[in-house]
Amino acid sequence: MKSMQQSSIQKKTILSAKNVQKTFSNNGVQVHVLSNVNADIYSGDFTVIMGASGSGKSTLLYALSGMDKATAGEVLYYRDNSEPIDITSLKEAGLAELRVKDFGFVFQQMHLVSNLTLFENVAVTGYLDKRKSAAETKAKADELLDRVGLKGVKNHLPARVSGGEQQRCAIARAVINTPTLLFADEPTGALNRNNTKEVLNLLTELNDRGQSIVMVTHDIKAALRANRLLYLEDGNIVGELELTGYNETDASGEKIQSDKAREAQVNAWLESLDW
Amino acid sequence: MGIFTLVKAEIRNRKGIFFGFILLTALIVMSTMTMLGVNKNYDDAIKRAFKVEAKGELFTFFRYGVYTDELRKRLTESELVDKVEEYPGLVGTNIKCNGQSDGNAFNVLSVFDTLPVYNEAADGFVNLKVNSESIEPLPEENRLKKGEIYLPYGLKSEFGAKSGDKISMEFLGETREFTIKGFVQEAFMGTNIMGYKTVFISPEEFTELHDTVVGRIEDDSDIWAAGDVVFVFASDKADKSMLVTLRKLNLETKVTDLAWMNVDRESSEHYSGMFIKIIMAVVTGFSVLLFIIFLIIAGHNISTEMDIDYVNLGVLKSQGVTNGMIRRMYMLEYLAAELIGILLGMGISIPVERVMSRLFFSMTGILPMHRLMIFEGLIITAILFLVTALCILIFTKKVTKVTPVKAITNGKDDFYFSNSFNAPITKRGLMLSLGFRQITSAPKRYISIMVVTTLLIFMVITSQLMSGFIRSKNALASMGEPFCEVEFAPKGSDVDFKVKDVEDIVEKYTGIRGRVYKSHTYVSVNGENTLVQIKAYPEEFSSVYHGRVNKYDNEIVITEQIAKLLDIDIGDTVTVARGEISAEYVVTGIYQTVNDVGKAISMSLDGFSRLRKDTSNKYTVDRLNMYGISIEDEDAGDKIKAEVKEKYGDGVAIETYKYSDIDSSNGPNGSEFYMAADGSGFLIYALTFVFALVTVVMICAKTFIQERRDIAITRALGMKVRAIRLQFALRFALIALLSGLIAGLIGRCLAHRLLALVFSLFGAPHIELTYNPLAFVIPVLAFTACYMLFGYMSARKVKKVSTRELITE
Repeated sequence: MKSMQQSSIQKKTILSAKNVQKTFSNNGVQVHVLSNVNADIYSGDFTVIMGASGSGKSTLLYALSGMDKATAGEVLYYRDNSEPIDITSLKEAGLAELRVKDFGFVFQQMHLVSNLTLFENVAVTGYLDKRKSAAETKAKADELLDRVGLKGVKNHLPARVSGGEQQRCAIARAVINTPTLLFADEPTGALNRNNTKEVLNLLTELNDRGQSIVMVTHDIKAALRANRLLYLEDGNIVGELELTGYNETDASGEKIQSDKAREAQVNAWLESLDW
Repeated sequence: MGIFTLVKAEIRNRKGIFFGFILLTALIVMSTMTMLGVNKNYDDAIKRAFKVEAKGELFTFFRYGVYTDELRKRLTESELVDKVEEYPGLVGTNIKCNGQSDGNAFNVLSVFDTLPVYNEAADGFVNLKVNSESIEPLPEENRLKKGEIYLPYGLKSEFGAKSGDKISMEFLGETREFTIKGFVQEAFMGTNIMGYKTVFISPEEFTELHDTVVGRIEDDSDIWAAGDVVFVFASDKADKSMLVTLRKLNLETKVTDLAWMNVDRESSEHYSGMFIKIIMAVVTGFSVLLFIIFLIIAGHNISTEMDIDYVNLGVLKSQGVTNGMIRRMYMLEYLAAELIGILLGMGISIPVERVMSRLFFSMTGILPMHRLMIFEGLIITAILFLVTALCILIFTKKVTKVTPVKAITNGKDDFYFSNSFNAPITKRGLMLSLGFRQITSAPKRYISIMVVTTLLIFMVITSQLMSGFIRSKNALASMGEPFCEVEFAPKGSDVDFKVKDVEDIVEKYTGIRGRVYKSHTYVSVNGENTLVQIKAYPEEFSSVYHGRVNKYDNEIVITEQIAKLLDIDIGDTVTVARGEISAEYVVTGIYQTVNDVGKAISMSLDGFSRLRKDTSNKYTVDRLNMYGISIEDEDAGDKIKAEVKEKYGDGVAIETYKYSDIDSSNGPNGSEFYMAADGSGFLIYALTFVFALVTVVMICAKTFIQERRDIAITRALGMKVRAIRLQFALRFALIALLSGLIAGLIGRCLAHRLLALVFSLFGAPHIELTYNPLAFVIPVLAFTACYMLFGYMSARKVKKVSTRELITE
């Protein structure tokens, strides 16, 4: 669990959106989904992007992760201590390298390769990373699947396991190459209550171990897991809320903020934004 | 109208596939129509040739003095004969033209008015209009003068001759030179496949030459220098088969026994058109195979389309579209592609047929007609439509199983195979293992392409085996045409020639592997006019495959064709007649020869001596026409040739060949084999690879649609476009490799039978294949490489699959 002392350390920016715009063209009609987004993502944070349906939160996530190109603006990625990389200017090879080494992604619809077993879905992504040997990748995949509770079904095809299990596998796949940043697009959107809780616990646990996460959700229960909330409206970030870490404790080991208090604080903030 | 809207939408959405099917149909129709056209136009042309020349059904050449009044009476009184036409004839030997010589004897006749003279500039005839069946009088400038000669068109390619070139020949020791005035169409022997030819000189020169030659013939001479050409016209009572009529006529009149040579119309048509028929059989067989492949691909395509359109089909049904309408929609889509393909194929076949016919003209010597195959085209269209419609009805049967609710709730079964054999995924060779996994995960999806690929590779393997077979020494020997590095023959009877002397020269430089010393002439066997091969050493390079070689003078070996034709077998006794003399022989074996397309027998020198007037005057080895020696060191050929030339000067013609040059030279063994085999082989290769390309592109396109989401996922995970394309390429390479293994097995089991069928058309049904591993390996590797390339090319759309497709807004 993260301590108070840790959270007071000055945050390091790992991703920075500068004047990001996204426009879709539909039969000549221009739709501006992202107007002029400016935002920083910090190392170790569990950042949640919220907003009403159609506000552009998923579009922003895809623009930040390089899954989709912004129409204008820059998305700067600060890899180690080197010069920032503008993701919007990367070509196919650069993007592929980024996806293998730096960014992990969890989709709302899981998107596991349907003819690969759960283990293979995780391992194949690991195999793409040339820094690790095959044996190391296999061991890591096993370890991850064990950690997410899928050891017993690791040789099953995705169609034979539940949605929650699929999503946990997707998370294991997303972190197999120890990414700097994990993106999650409504990871609980297609899950029932039990599976939602399992997946959120998993993400929280990863964050507690230092994994930076950016997650899009419209579910307040999911949003409570974040230590930083951004609110998107009409393609602009109109609100930001800093929270303590979900599992952050005081010196006595007690959670600093109870779930109830946390929920009340988030609700109040959302109400102030006309949610 | 609703159904047409649906069909239009289907075509619009699947333009690539639609054009693919158009291309496949066009290829099938083009190749079939081309060969049908070549064949039909040749058939019509040869019928016209016999009609305009009006020389009956049988060409016979009798040695001077043999065609007696009595024989004429027997012939004209036969109820099988309508009438006869008689002309004096000469025999020209030792023919030379453009530095080449021809070992055959030519019939020399005074030119007929009814001969169509070829007009090279117009690619037509001077005196016969295109598609006309009546001949006009020859203009004065085309009539022959003294010193001029007309050659049948088949000789043009043999000598590489053109008008104005010189040709010389001997008439009983006297050499005459002629200027080639031009080329004519001569129906009986005009083809370059037949060795004997009839050439034509001016009436004045013929009379003068004939008188000179006849004046030199001694009464008891056995030399063929002059004689009578008799054209026999069959009566209404004659059998439809000229072969049957001839046999009856011979038994009745001895006409073929007494003749120096006979050529009947049926045999002539057969020889002239033999290669057209063989290539047509191969191409037609191959086209049928391609059509089967077309149907397999169509079946696969419909099945995958129904998978992809599963939801749409359910929606359509929910709106009241019936099963019948959906099935008609698929049918109309494919029939529309087929119709366009048929029209395209037919259109292309018109110029291609002209080109092909022109190529065959140099072999047949019969200028093809130019008629469009409208009726045949309609028949082909009807057959293709009918079979396709029927197959589509079967392929679309599962439409009935789609229900609106099931489709809309996406209730179709996952197309991946869940728990059978799943190939492992490895980091090393990741793309290969992923490609293999795709195949093992959905084997049903790849069965059709594997069947198609197997069939295509099998055809290529068979073609390779055929190519290897006809070039192997053993194969040539088994077909009765052993490869001899040294061939020689005395020029004329006055040369003091001893074959033993040539053998001594050969043995000075190298060892002798075997000898082929033979003469060909015609005899009748139980009344049937048949080629007899008189061999000095029948046991050397024997092509006997049942029974044994003839050892004694009362023994013969026969071909399978003769055995079937005359219903005789090993151990039977037959009567062989030559002129007025006949003798009985016992059949000791079945052998093969491609001479006279397998209608032949073979006997020894002593055996043939029994057919002489004076049987004590034995036929000796030095009196044969063709001498071939197979030597141990082929490089010694030049030295042998030089020494034989030194010994005999121009008295003996000698040629040497190298087996390694078998492809580039005409060789001593009939280049027609190589031409026909290579022609068919090239066609098979070309069509096969075009089909392979279209097949891979179409299947890849479908696979691509089905795997679009997976492709997007792998791209989102960081897999590069090139890697995904490589995975596709390797997948198709694996398919080719697996199919190649199956095709290899099938080839090992069936290629022999298939080739035996093809070679039976040449008269050699008994073949011994050598299964050279390269004949299997090369096609499999070629297909694997092509499939990999085609797969990589057709997966270029991966670039267009964006990770955006995974976004749920």
